[in-house]
Amino acid sequence: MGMSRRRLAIVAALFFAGALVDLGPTLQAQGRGAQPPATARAAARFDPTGYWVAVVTEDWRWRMVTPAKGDYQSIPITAAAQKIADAWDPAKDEAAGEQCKAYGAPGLMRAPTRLNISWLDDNTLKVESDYGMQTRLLHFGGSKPSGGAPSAQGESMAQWQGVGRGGEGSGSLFIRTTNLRPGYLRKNGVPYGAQATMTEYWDLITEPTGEQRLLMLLIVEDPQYLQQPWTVPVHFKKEPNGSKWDPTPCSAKF
Amino acid sequence: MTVRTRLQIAGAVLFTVMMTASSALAQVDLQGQWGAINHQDNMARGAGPDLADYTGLPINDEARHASLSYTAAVLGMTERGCLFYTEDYLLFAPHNIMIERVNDPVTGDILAWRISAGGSDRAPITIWMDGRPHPSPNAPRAFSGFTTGQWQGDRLVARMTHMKRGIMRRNGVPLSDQATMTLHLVRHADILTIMGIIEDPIYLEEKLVLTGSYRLNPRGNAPATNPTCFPFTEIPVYDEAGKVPHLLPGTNPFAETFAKTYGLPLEAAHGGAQTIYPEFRKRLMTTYRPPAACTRYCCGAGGLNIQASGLKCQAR
Repeated sequence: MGMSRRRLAIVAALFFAGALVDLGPTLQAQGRGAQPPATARAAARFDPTGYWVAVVTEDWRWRMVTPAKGDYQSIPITAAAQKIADAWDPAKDEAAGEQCKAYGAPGLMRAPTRLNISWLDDNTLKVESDYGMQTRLLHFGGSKPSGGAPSAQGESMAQWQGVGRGGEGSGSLFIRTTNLRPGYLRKNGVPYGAQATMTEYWDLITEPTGEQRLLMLLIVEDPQYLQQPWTVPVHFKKEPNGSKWDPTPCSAKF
Repeated sequence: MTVRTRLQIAGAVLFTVMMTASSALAQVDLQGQWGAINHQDNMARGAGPDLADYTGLPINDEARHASLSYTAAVLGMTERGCLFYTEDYLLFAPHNIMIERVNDPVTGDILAWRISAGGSDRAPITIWMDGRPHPSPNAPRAFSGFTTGQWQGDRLVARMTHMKRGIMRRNGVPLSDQATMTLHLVRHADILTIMGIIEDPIYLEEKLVLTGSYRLNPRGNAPATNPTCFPFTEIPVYDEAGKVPHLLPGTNPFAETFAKTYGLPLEAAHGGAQTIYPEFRKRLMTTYRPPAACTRYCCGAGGLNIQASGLKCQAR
């Protein structure tokens, strides 16, 4: 006993419809049919570009100023990290030309900074800070880390994530940063090592007033200096323009 | 194919698309036990903040004066013993939480999400999802407030009104009963972040934004509910009956202790909107005098076993 043609047609239609819906976001992100994949800029789940200011309402004493030597409060460091932090000497860092050690990506994103975010090209998002005048490049399109020399900002691979058809709250920006040069999580010498990685999730929050905030979840993993992933949210507020942009060079002391 | 068959197929396709689409847009499951991570403001969330530490709070002069008049002795008054447990405590408490979905017992529809108190004296937060309106602005305030929610994509956005007068930091910084709070619940993998935006026309110069993250913990045991704060005399009252313990302006003996301990200018220690933006650092460059070394509360992060980890810390 087989299915009638009518039933077969219904089943096939149901299967096709379900598949279409399931593939919706994927098709949207990659372009339909034989078309070339959409660029990251075209597939953006939200617009992250513009000027953003860190609103330091949390960990103020550890973020806004350089805390006292030996203050590791809130960071799940290892004994090895404590040894390094206890030997912190900002004058020595400056003399060695290492005044930017607290400005690598894991430290930078919690800094009292403004960010200027723009598209460098269709698949690369540029994140500049006025604090320490750093630049991060977020690479989309499935590119792999080059494996070149480690750097303060490392190599960041980014991907839009989300379901549905776009719109408010429909997606996030996922970023994975590797190949980091050792640096400081905190200005007072709390270290991260060469094996550290950082995972970020960025979400856009639009308030009823139209104000926009970027909520970022930062997860720093370091088998050498962290007992558990250091997991901290941080938030930025959108500014109408760059009138408060104030480039300031790195400083190891303040 | 007959017209009837085509109609049946079209109907079936429409039904399937609707069902599948609604599941794709069915947002995120928030249910479960969530362990507080506490990797920021660990001391303030745990042991508690220093007296007169208002750093990071965009408070106005009125709030500053009210904060400096605060003394913990006020908690000895039966009618003020629950002052700390307004719902914004969720945003600066150290507790694990449990989130439940409340279903309509007949239709199965989601009536509400409920965030437990996590063992604190705070009342659970019920986020109504059934479209019910907020009460009249003149309706009584409650410790539980009144909260409605809606999904914005994968994010649950909840707006709370009708909060009682409470605090926004555990050293007496006040929150008025005119305050409202918007919560954004964002889940990424096994991590839930709750961002709260507090508005208070009485005590804030601008919105106060606080965040906290939680890790899904299948072995968690935060209770779904627990006895919320009820008024009784918790600590001895040494003041005369009927007297409200307070400090008169200019008499708070701890007004400058925190600032001096950490080498901060008083204007930084006592908060305000200007202090939470990067440009304030320029004023600190010449006024901040950090202590030579940390001497108290130097270690600790979200349940870390300091002794087992081999750390040698100045805990206090």
